[in-house]
Amino acid sequence: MNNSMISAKVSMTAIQQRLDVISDNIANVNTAGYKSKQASFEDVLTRTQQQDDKYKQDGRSTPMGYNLGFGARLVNLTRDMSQGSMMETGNPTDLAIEGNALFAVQSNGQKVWTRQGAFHFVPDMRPKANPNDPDLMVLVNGDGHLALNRQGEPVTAPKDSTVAFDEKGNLLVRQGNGNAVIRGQLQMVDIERPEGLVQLGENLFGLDAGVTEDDVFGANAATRESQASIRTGFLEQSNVDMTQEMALLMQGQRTYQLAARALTSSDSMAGLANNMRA
Amino acid sequence: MLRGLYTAAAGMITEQRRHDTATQNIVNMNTTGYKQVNSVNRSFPEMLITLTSGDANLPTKRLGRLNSGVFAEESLSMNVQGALMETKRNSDFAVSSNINVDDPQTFEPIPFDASGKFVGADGTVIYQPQAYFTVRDAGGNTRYTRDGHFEVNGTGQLLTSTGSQVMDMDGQPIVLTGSVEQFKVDEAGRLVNAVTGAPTDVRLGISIIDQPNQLVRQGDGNYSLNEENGATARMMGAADVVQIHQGYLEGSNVDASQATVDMNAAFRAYEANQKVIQFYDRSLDKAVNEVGRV
Repeated sequence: MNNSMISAKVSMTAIQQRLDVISDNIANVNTAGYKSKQASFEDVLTRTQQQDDKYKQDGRSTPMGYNLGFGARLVNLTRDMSQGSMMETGNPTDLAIEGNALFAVQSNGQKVWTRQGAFHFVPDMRPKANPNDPDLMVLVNGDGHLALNRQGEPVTAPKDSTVAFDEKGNLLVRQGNGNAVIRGQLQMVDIERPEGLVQLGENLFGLDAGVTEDDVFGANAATRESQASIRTGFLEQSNVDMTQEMALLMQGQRTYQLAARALTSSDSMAGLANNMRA
Repeated sequence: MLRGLYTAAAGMITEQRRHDTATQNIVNMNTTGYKQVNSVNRSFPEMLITLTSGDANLPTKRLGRLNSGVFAEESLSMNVQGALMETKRNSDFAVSSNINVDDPQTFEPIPFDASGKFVGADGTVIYQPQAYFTVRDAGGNTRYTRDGHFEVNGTGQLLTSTGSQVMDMDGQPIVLTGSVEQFKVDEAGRLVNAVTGAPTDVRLGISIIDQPNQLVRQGDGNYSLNEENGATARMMGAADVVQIHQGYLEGSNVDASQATVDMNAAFRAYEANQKVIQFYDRSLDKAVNEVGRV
């Protein structure tokens, strides 16, 4: 009986979720390294009303049965991994990836990945293996996550040295008047299967359940040279397209209105049925 | 009893179905590859009405034919192309087709109208064959879909948004070896070698359904083919005008204003039927409480 009511309700929930995704994108329009998300819908059908052979009349063009749909639902979120625009900052440890790759960083002891390249050096507070070792500084990104090198170790440099990165993510360190020497390389990995990544908070990506690092980034990605390159002194901006988001927002709002209208309409119909015997 | 009471009740049930169908169209306005559904109503079979009088000598008089109600007969999908939207994702596909069929009598190509239908001189209706992606669902059944919003899972399998495997021309699931970045498909549906740019042997499995109305919705964006009435599916051939658009999705073909009008029309027709029932009720009221009063 209240089939329209159910499908309107189910779909309003789905459209609401889509509006949530859109507002998430719009809120992150200025987040460095943010990748926009898109929601997609699927129709839901749970019932085919059976019709027996007596219903078969001449001129019928479909198989027996009457399809009853129950609205639309949100099936999946896909992330647009395309390049964001570059903003020049002049800071030599601000790194922007050009290409389809991610930086490996460490968060709470876990290996995670990010596009957010607002790195800076902070004094290394970890206990030293040998008290006579020189003081070090470590590279962290804007949210304080340790950047990892190709060996999976934090990227470090001696205190009071001059540092720079080249376009492949090699760390060049110069102490005093000496020559610059390469001290490890940032772990930048190419993405082969972006669907294996899940978004975590703080602009981080983690691995989906049951997916291994090799699945997402290819075999030996940690040590393999990435095809992407790094621009130093730049930050990658979010790739959210405001025009598109606003268009989707309007579209979502109108569909929501129409679904609400259908709900009102089926409510009035239920009212008519109830008031048949006034 | 009053015959029309049941007729009006059947009318209310039918308009409810029409309203459900219009709602389903409205809420799927943003569903990829969704095809608008139209509810087709049909009157109950006709019956003959005869006037019988109490006098056995008088002949019975035939009054004529009467339909004693209406029912929602079928939910007919409108299998026409939806608008293509650019997404720039490598694993999004849209299929567009214009498949020619020759008239069996005249051997001339059939001029289908905009809704993919041709009504012959003798009233026979021929529907234009449509192209679909061939997929295999979790139960191993072959299914068809227009929703080309695919994704590549960790092991390289190409899946639909509901997890069905996308098949190639030979009926094998498509498994990618390289990255999604290097996944290129040409307009004919052939996977292209990322390095050389030359087409490979692997081709997206596009099925041509000759009677698209025989497709049954499975409720997850997939259709199954009902073959009882002679409908067949075949793989796309060289002569078929089918184009695969990578980086595009086919939007829903629901016409928002049409769907709204349908919904309002169903609502008002429901109301009118309700009024008819009330009139019958008042007639009965008179018969019982006024005529029958002693």
